[in-house]
Amino acid sequence: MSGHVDLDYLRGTLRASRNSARDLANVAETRCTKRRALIAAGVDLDAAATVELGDEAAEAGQSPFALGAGETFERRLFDNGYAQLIEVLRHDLGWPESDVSVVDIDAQHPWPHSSAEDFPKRRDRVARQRLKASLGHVAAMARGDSDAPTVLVKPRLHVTFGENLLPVEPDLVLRRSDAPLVRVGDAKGYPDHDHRTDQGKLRQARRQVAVYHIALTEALDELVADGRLSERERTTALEGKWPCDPDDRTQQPSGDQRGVLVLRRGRMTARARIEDLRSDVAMVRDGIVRAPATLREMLADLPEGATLDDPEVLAALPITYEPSSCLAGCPFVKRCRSMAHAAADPRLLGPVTHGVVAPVGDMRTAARLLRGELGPASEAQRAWLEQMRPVAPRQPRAAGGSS
Amino acid sequence: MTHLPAEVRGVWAAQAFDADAAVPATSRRHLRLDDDPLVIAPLELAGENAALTAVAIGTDPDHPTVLVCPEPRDSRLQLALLNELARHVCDHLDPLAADREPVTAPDGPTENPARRAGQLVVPTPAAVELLLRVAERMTWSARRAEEDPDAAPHVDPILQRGGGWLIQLCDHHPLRPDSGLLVVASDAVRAHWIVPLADHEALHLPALMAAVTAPAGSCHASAWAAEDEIGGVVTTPRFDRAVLAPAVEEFNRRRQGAIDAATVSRHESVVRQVIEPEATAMYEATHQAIDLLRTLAPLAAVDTARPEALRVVRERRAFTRMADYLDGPARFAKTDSPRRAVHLLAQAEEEEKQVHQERLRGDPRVRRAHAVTGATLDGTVVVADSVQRRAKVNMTSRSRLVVEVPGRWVPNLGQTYELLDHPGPVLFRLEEAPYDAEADSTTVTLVCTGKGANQRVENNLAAGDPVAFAPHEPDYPWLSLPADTPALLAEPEAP
Repeated sequence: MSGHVDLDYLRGTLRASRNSARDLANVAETRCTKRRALIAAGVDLDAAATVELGDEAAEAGQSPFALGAGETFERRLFDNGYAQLIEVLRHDLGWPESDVSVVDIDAQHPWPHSSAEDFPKRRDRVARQRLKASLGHVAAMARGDSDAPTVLVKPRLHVTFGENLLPVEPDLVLRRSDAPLVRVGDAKGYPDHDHRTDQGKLRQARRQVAVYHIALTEALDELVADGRLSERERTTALEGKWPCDPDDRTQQPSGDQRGVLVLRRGRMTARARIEDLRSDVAMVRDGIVRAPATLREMLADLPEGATLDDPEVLAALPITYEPSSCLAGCPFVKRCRSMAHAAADPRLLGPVTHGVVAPVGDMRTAARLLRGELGPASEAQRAWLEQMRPVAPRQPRAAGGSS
Repeated sequence: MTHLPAEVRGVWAAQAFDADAAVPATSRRHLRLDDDPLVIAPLELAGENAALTAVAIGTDPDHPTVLVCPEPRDSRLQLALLNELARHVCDHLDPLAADREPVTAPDGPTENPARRAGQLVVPTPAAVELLLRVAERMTWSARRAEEDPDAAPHVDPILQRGGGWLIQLCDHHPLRPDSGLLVVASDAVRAHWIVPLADHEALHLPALMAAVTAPAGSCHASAWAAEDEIGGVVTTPRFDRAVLAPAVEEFNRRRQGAIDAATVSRHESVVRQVIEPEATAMYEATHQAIDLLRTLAPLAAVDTARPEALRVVRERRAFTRMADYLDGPARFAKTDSPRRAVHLLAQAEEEEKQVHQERLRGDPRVRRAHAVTGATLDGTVVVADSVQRRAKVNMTSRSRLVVEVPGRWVPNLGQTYELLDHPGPVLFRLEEAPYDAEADSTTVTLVCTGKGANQRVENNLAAGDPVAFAPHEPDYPWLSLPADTPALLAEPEAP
């Protein structure tokens, strides 16, 4: 594949991803070229997995109970003129009592219904309107205009991945009326249990806010390039410090990368917390620029004119199976795991086994070397065998049916 | 499994993969197992804060009691389930805590510990997290009812005690994962067997049990086939969509908002019949894990047949402290003071060190595995004699052992080795350990350091005798708080 990459053509009949921010957050954790390519192409991974694997695709979607709880929480947060959201910002983040002005991009530019006539064109038009309006409001917030909103709900921004721009829509972009700094935020419907909150979910949420932070940075850079914002205003907006941050234990003087997470407390209430995003932003950025970084590089081996809705094309994309990231939510996981099993890839059993066995290749070769069925074929294998042989005579009997 | 060196874990895992079967990581059981532990297998509703849909609980492997909350989002119905759960926990643990046995140490005060420590077994680490949040909800509800009885009329006082037991046991576990007071079945099985599964896969208890018990050659197929079942504390999205949500909706339609016991029990069967088999399956998998662990002979330190066994005694004391605290103030703070946290951590580290020593001393397979890093040594005596060594100004006679170890053995430099299965602690320092490639063996020369007992080791050992050495861990004094400091206290600060 060479030349310009037309994403609509490349996706073929596959639907576009509905949550690019979540996909981009996952990019930080995976080195799998196939997953990266599909994310870079803006493809819905579940749809692609169904095309390639049919029923073998890992189960998609959330529990209706979790979905219901999340939707109820978000609705309650934004209902009654955003009363609960404003209350949370004031109570938990020391938001000043002065007027709060909310601009809801979702309300101003609602998406057309998928059954609407001429849906793709109307959807693209609304997307452009949302992007234009969002950038205008972000510019006003960064400049500190008196008529700028202090809370921008569901703005549309972009993150550059390879040669493409992937759209993301953070729940919130915030600017305090008493400070010119601008921050992103996200509302999550899962319950907050203080120090017992699920660290995995929290890490995932932070990564997603880190994606929004990168999108905000790119938007401000674009505004500077357009001349709508000065360099100084951009720096102040990104690096300013919350005037009275109740959770500020890091005491960072400037240049901080923090975002806001609004989580559910119990069934009815919400709680906002400021999250330090430095490591998450760095991880997401590393994930984005990690080789192969561009879609053209990722799809280099595909024939000219190939599209991703072809099961054979999907099957031909190179994979890297890593249980910790793949089992956590990739719909292709079962197929990739079977391939890693067939190849006796030591990654199949995690980093410890991979670290020990990788010098000799695969796990079957390692076992045969230790049993003496195979002689070392290289200096590396000879050295490994000498080091590991003391372990081999201790090989216990297999436990099959030991119960 | 984490108690083995990484090289051993990696190589044994590769061998397990090649055989497509689990392999034993130990030759002994490293934790205490009661004859009748209380198994708790909880299931929660996705997206909610510690809202239980069902709990299978009991000591009988074949007949669990399954508590069901047909609408976990209704706090009043949830409270009814929590009351029942608390009652079961207290019914099991309170009689054990009340059965005391006065003990007078030769050089210490008279204690009155429980004759036997209780034991809870849960399926997975997620169940511990869930029970801890449930326990906090129990004590919080009880506290609120205590302060304002009109606001929470359905709260039974037993909630405070049941929640207190669970908080203490669940908080005890992360610091002392080897304790028998609360056993996590999946962790315990993985500590004793190496399965060719990734960490994430092994968190699914039915898959793990299928992998461990499958005949050689079918481990992966069995484990992967079991993955479609519920394996943790949350039901799958597919099950929720297709089965549980319609059942809960039907229950809500039939009860029409009523919460009285008669109405609920009349209609709860629509939910019970779908959730009970799932909770029971996790309960049975947990008992299966216990039965599997029972096939291993216990280390001396965890052998309940020996009343003086070190960890059995320690767990009786810990259990008694928990019971005494529940009989007293029974208030629980969310966090510890820094000082108490340091104390607890130091105590836990000290215990962990002892547990590791027990493993090395009592389990030949674990000891041989650690020989790879030079930490331990198993071999055959070639020479047992004495040599003259200069100690300060005088020449003294020291015991010397020359031991042949099969294969290449690389010593852990600077370490002091303790001779095992010998009266009194006898410590040795390594002199040399040359490897003979032709004979494929290492000849290790060790000389007694002269510290500890003055036995003439060479009088008790002769050429051809098997010997084993473990690392000697010196004890360092540390500033101790009282030994009876409970895991969590609200006020006041410890002295």
